[in-house]
Amino acid sequence: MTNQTPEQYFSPYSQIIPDFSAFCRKLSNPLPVHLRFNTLKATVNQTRLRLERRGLNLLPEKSVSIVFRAKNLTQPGHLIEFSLGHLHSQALSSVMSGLALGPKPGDVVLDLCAAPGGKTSLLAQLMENRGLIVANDRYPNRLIPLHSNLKRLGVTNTVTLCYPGQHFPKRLRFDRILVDVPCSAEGTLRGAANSNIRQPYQSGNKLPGLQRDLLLRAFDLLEPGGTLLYSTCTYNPDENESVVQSLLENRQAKVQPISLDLPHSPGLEQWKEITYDATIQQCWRIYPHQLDTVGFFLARVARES
Amino acid sequence: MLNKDHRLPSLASLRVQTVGLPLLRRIKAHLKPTSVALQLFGSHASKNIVSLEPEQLGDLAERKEIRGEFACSPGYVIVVTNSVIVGCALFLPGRLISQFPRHMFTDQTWNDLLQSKEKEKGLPR
Ligand SMILES: C[S@@+](CC[C@H](N)C(=O)[O-])C[C@H]1O[C@@H](n2cnc3c(N)ncnc32)[C@H](O)[C@@H]1O
Repeated sequence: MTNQTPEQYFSPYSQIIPDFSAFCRKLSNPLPVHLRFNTLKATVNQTRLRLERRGLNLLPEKSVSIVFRAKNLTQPGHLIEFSLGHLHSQALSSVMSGLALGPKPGDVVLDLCAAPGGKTSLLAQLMENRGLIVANDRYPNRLIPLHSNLKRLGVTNTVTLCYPGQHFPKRLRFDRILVDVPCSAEGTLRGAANSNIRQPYQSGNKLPGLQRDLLLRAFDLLEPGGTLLYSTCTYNPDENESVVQSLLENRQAKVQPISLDLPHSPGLEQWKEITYDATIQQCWRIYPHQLDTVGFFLARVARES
Repeated sequence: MLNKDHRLPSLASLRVQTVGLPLLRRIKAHLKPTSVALQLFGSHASKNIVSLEPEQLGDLAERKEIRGEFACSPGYVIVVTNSVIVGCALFLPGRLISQFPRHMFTDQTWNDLLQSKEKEKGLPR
């Protein structure tokens, strides 16, 4: 634990986060438990009925029919529906990144930083287990939970690979690519009882270079006309808008609007001395006081035909 | 199970770790369906289905084997509880032997099973 309160820890962002004091207040509440119902194995209604009959209090999430918030549940991993792969415990914002990419059945999709596979299995669900997903992660030990999640959730259309994403071979081109990069994970920080916050598990400083390389390589792996989704669970503009800006400066990439109907803030116009390309405002910043989930950043980018 | 796509041959030149989902495992001279394959495709089966009460399923998972006669022929069978496909077991006359993956169940899952009183008609799709 650091000795910092949310106000202290996030003070560098006080000018960019709207209603900064509401944001800090929200961080003293625990993260809500969200369940994604896995329609590869059971219908939403079947799973919902089973859980509700056992007394679970489920609140549907507006506009995302496969996600429910479980009010009186602390250990979703112990549910029988979890063991049977009828559901996965996954933050709403994490589900949103898969929805924002919007793969279709039959697409050829790359998940460049895939482990432990929450989003890979969501992509398979959206693709109805058709087409092909190439799920890659740099670290062999991270493939173990990836494989076990894919198996439990009944994903049949996925092959797994273990390359450093920034050097992923250019022999195959993809219709859609998810670039869910390693990040400082500030969006997962919530206050403990004393409202001090945990230390992020990685320092943000070394990450932007890697994130830039991963995004550039992902863009180069897109089919003309293809789309990628860059996401992080951090608020740090150096890991978000600046990375997208660097792609725009180096490639013929086009930021696209995200067509979901959920509360968010636009991408930044400016950070420190950098003024970003105006299209970056079409990116989404997800803040917990606007949508009660892990803080996220989403950028949808197209490669023109 | 992959769709035909002109790009697929390029995949062969990459170092692939796993492909798809294991549907069958070879056990000596036999092919055993995996529990996850049955959970996905078992709803198409019309025979070799064993329906267990939650308590019986608990015994099967805990003791790995339960005694009893079930209306099916010897061999691998689909285990169903409360209309939900749980996985695979081996039926030999008078014996049902668990083939569930290890660590599939926790104490909480048993509570869930015992609490669920629903009786839905038909198997999940
Ligand atoms: C934010 S996590 C991905 C979470 C995952 N998409 C999910 O939804 O379950 C980032 C992942 O990137 C992996 N990673 C780190 N460096 C990488 C690299 N250079 N190339 C590919 N993957 C990398 C990490 O092992 C980690 O699993």
